[in-house]
Amino acid sequence: MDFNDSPEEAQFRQQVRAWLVQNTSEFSDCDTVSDDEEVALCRRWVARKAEAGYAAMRLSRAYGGMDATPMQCVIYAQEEARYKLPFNYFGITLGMAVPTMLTFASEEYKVALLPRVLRGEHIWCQLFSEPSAGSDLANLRTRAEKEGEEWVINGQKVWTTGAHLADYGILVARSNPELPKHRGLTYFFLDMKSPGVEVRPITQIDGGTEFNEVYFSDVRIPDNQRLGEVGEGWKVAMTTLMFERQAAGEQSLGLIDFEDLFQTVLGIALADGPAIEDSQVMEKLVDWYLVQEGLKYFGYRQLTALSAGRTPGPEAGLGKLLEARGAQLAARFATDLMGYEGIITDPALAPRGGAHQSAVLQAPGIRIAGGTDEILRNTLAEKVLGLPPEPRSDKSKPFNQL
Amino acid sequence: MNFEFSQEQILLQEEIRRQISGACPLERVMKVMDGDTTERLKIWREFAELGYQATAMPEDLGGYGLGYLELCLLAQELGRHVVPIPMISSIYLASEALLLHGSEAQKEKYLPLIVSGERVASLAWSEPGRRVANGNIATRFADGMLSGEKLPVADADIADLFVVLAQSEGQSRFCLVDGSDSSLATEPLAVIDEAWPHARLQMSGTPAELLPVNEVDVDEVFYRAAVLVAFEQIGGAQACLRSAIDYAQERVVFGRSVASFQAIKHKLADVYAATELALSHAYYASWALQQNHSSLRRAAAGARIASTRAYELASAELIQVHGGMGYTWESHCHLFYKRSRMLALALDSEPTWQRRLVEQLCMQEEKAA
Repeated sequence: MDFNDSPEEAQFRQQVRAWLVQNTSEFSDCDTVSDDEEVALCRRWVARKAEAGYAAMRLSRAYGGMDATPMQCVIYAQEEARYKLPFNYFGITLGMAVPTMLTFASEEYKVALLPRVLRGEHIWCQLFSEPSAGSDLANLRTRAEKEGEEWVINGQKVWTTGAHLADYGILVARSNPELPKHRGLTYFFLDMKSPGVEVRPITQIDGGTEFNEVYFSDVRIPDNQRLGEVGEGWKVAMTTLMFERQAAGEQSLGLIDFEDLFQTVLGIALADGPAIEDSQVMEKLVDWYLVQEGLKYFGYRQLTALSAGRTPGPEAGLGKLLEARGAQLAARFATDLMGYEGIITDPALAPRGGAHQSAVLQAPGIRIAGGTDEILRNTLAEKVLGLPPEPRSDKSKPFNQL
Repeated sequence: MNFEFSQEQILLQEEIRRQISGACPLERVMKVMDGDTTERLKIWREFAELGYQATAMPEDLGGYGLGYLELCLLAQELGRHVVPIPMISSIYLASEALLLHGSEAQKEKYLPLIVSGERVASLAWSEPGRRVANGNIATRFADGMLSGEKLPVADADIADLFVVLAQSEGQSRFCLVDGSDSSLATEPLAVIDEAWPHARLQMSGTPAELLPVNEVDVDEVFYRAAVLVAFEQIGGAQACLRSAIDYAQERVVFGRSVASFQAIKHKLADVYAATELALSHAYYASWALQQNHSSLRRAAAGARIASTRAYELASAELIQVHGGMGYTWESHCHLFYKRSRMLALALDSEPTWQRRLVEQLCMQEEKAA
C-alpha cells in the first residue's frame, strides 16, 4: 500500500507536467467558443497529444501510443484535470472504438484508420442502442443480410452520442433472427458517410444535442469490415463494454466537482451565519465528498488490479451507480443553498458558471446512459455477488418467435 | 503507487480469519450476550497467545512492531466475527493514548502488560449530559488526584487501568488511574449491545498520573482509532452482506429463490456499493495512519463516516432479508445490528465527525489559499 508516486512515476509525472505547461495554453480557453469551434479545438488538442503519445497512451508505439501502464494513464489524467480543456469529443472513439478495432480489425484497416483518429481527423460513434433495445441490448432489430461479399443493413439506432460528428461507427446488428437473441448478432464497423445512413439529432432536456437517431436504409458494408465471426456480435460487444469500463476507471463523470460544491458553500451566507457552519449543510457536503473522494480511491484500487494484469470486472459499475445518483442529490443541495436564485442558469450570474444547474439537468441522463441504475444493480448482484437472475423466457427461444 | 495490501499482508489476514472463525464463532459471542461474564477475558487471553494485541506495538514495548496496516486487517477480522474483546478500549484507544502522550517510563510500565493480555485498559472520555469536545470537560485533575464522572466507559468491568480525559489547568489532558483503586466506583449500564459491557465511572480524589504534554492534542487518538474502528465496521458489514446473500439463496418464496427478486438484489447491491466505498476510504486512511501522513485527520474522518454508514445499512438489511427470523434472539442478526450502532457512537457520533471532516477540508482550503 503506497499512495505516493514511485521514483519512476514521479519522473513520469514531471515529464507530463512539463509537457502540459508548454502545450495547453492555446486550448484552455473554451468557455466562450461555439460548439463547432470547440469540436475543432478538441481535434487539434487530440492531434497535439498524439504527437507526444498522450492521446491513446495504452496503444503500442507502432499505432501512435506509448505502451503506457494503467498507472501512467492515471497520472496523465490527474495532471490534465488541472487544466480546463475542450470537452473530450473523442471519449468513445479512443475508449471504445479504437481498442475494439485493435482487437478485431485486420492489420490493413488498423494502419489505414487509427492514425487518422490520432491526428484528430476521425471521430467514431457506437451504434448499439435501439428504440426497443436499451437495457435489453440483445433485443436489437437492425438487420444485417449477407449479399455476396457485402452485408446490407436496415434499421434504426438511437441515443448515438456524437453520430452527427462521426466519420466511422461500430455497429451491432441482427444477422440471423432464427437464432436465440444473443446468438444471432454480428458486429461491424462502417463509414458513416455511406449511402443510406441518415443522422437526426435528438434534443436533450438540457437543450444539448449530443446524441442522435441513426437510420440505415440498404446501407452496404463489405464483409471485411466485420469484427469477429458471424453470430459472435454479442461477444464482441461485451469486449467493447469492457474497454469502456477500463477507460471509465481513469476519470469521474465530471457532473459536479467536489471543489465546485465546496467553493459554492463557502460563498453562501444563510440567515444565521455562514452556510459552512450549518450542520445540515455539513451533512450534505460530506455526502458528496464521501462519494467523490471514495470513488477516487476505489478507482485507484481498480487500477492496481489492472496493473497486476487482471481485467476490470463488473464491480466497476458501482462507480457510476453511486456517482450519478450522488451528483443528482448534490446538485439539488447546491441549488437549494442558493434559494430562489438557484433557478438561474446564466453562467455570468450563477455561482461556478452555472455548474450546479447544469448538473441538475444532466444527472437524469447520466443515471440512464451506459447502464441504468437498475441494470447496474442487477449486474453487481448477479456478476459480483453471485445472486441468480430473474426467471426469463426470452433467452433460448428463436428471436423471431419472441 | 500501489493501492492494495501486499501478498504477505493478505495471507496474514486469511490466517487470522481462519484462527478467529475457529476460536470465536458467533455462538461464543452469543454466550457473552446471554450474560456469561467470564468469556470476554478468556478470549482476550487466548488472543494474546496468538499475539493479536501485540500486532502494531513496537518490539521494545513487547510487541511485534508489524505496523498499522496489519493492525487494520486484524481489526477487519475482529469486526467480521463481532469478537467481544476490549480491543478498541485497550489497544486502539488506551494504548494509542499512552504511545502518543505517555512518558517512556509510563509506556514501559504499562504497554507490555496490555499487549501480553495480562492487563485490560480503557479510555474514559465521555461525560454525562455534555459533549466533551473543545475542552468542555468537567472531570478535573489537581494535586495528583482526579474527580468527576465518566459515562459511558467501555469494558470498565474488566479494566485494570483507565486512561481518563480530564481538565488540568485549563488544558485537556490524559491521566492514568489504577482500576483497583478503592476510591473508584463503577456501576454497570444497560446498553444496546449486551456483548459489549459499559459502565459509569465515578472518581473522587482518585490518585492519578498525568501523561506529559505533547505537541499533538488529545483528539489525535480519536482520529487514529477511527481508522482501526472503520476496519472493524467494514468487516462487520461484509459479514452481514455474506450472511444475507447466503440466506436469500436458500430461502424460497412464491416458487423461487428470494435472491432472484430484484427488490432483494438491488438492496444487496446497494450494501455492496456502500461497503466498497467505505473500504476505499479505509484503505487510504490506513496508509495515512501508517505514514503519519498530513492528510490523516481528513482521511480518518472520511473512513469513519463511510464505514459507519455502510455497517448501519448492511446490518439493518441483514435483518430485513431474514424476515421475522432475523428479529429473534436466536438468530445472529442482532449481534451485527447492535454492534453497528454501538460502533457508530463509541468514538462519538456522526455529526461530530462531519464537523471534524469539514474542519479538515477548510484547513486544507486555507493552506491552498
